[in-house]
Amino acid sequence: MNKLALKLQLMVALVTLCSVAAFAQNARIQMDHLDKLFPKAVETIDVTVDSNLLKLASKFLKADKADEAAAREIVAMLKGVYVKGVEFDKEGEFSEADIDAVRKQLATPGWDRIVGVRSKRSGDNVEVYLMHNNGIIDGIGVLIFEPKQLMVVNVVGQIDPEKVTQLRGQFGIPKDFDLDFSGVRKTRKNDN
Amino acid sequence: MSHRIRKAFLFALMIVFLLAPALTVHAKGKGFKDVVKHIETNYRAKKTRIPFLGLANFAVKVIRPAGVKGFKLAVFEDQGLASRPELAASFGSVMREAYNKDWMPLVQINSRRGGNNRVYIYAKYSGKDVEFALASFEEREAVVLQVKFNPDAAARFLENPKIMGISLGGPIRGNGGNIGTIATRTSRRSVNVRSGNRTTSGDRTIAEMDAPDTTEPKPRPVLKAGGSDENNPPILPPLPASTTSPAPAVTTDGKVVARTESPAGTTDPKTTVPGVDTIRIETRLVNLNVKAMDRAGQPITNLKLEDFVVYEDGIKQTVEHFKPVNAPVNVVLLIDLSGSTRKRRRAMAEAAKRFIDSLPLQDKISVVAFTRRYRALTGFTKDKIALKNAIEQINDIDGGTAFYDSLWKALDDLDRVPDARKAVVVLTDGEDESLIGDEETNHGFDDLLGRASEEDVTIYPIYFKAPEQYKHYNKLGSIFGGGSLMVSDNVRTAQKQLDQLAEATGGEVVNAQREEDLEGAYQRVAQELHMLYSLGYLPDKMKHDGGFRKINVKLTREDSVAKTRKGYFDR
Repeated sequence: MNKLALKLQLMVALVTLCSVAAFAQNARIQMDHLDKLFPKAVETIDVTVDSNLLKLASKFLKADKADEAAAREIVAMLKGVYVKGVEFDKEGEFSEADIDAVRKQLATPGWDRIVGVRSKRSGDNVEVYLMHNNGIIDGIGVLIFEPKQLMVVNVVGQIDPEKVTQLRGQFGIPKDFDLDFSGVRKTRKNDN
Repeated sequence: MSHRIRKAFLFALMIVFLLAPALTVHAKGKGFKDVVKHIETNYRAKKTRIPFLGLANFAVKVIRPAGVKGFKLAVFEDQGLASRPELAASFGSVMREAYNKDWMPLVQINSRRGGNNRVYIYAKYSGKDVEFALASFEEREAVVLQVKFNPDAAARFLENPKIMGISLGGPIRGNGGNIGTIATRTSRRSVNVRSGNRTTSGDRTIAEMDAPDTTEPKPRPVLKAGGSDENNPPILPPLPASTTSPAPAVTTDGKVVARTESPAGTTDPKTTVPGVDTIRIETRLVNLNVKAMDRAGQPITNLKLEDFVVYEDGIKQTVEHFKPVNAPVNVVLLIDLSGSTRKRRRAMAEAAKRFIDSLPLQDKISVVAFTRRYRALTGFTKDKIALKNAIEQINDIDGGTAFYDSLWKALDDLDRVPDARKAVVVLTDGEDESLIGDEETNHGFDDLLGRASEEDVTIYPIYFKAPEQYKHYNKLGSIFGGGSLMVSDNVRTAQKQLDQLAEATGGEVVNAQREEDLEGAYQRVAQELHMLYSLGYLPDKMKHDGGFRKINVKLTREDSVAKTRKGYFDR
């Protein structure tokens, strides 16, 4: 599960950096169908962090400190963070339909795929989607799967890229991280 | 009629009153009580008695530290919770039923690897307060915790830690994910001034700690060219402290004696030994503990002085003294007694006792326990009964983890030992409290590593921490972007630091992930200790420029290698 944890950490970095509103509820991905996979899995993770808890978390960030203030504003705009993940001992325990059920939601208007990584060697697949409207990011969807693993991460809420860049060098976000969403459309075209 | 009716009414009312709570419970889970009852009933598990828990809960309700208004805690240790896997699998349902109303599931982690480990976190918002329920269920232990707190008060506490109006120090900005920031802060606060034997750090001094008084002058070793009793070399009268490492001086009759040096590099006249004409030379004895191995890594234990060639910065040095592997060793047996080790004390004590038994009779050992305080339970002694009796005391000690400061003091203790063969065997997870920003440290890691590199003490950390222990919390930490639950970075940092300490001193980290591994780990260290040769040389020329002098030891035998510390700083 180390890989899973590592990926989770990467996702959280994304979450933190892309942390996020208006269309909020539309950006929520339904992933309850994955619950049926839990009994067979050797490792499962299920996280539901709602806006109340995020507000609570923001209390612990100071408004008068530049770095924490940016993080506080980002967290304050978030509506929820949801994660479901499973890992199996052997391959073939989940089907393409399980993945497609998530992909279908991410193929609806508003969502754009910005990253698609496929490794033939390891069988790793990572797909990152953004929901945006007039340049405002309203949600992030991340789909990670490999033969024995499946994980979906969903961040709901407005994400201001400008604020995220202020967090570079903190909270695990690389100093040279550049979150340029201006090319979302372009990336999407290239990607597809 | 009225009397009968009234009686019947009262009776019905009583029934309703009696049944009401039960009916409510049926409709609404009792949370904590239900989960605890489930564990007790279905696994016949018994709660671990936690002294003064009721009192602590009462105190929390009155004092409300950090905004905490109350808590409930049940710990089940060493229970056969794996005996009914079918029940373990349904633990999630038990949690759902127990926390079914108003409660929201936040985190659910299940792992069937390495047992059947489950973590559940639920939250409930009640007005301005928040309640968290956490249940951790493993093969042999379970913890159920429910805590109610006021987030605003908690945030205020973090900013200005006070309990009952008493300030607990500066702000606690515990962002575990930003280890770099914490490390920097720690390092900045750890302004260490090594002034001789007294170490000052900010407004605290070592002397304030519960430890042997280091303000006493240290006896310095005398190295006689004409030879001396190996085990009992003569000791000079105590000399005043110096800001530099002790350097030997050579007398007119060819004897090498200890000397000290003033901060400006001039010799303090008081340091001269009455009745002995001394000539100061700019040199010092460099002691090395050296392990010799063949290419397959097997130790070679029958080497002689002529088999070793020592180089400093590439220049061959003359070895002045040599001791074979079977020469006595002075060992500080340092034991980490932080709270996390409490339930494993018995195994720790037994393994430590067998370690003592396995060392040769001539070895001197000092048993030291550390928490936030350094507690020398014995001095250096060969009396194994006294040592083992002292080990029994570890069951009664509990506290935090001042690892850096404790290792520093162990080095202080060994400084006072007039012999070249010295080692620290430390059983720990290496996680100094400063790593999680809880406490300041008198000595930062960099200072400790610097000093350890210079001392002729070999450090053998026995890394004692179950890898699964914090696995789920790591995930939580990741999820929350590096909150206080995130311990993985601390663990990694601690492991790296232990590696660095071992490597810098020519020692080795031995892992003990389970209690059963402890004895093997100690035995391995015991063997390693008597695979060490001791070599000493007087460097050709001391520059005292603070530069690092690289040491390289080679063996004249083919297909063999030597391992020792990397070098020292020429101060």
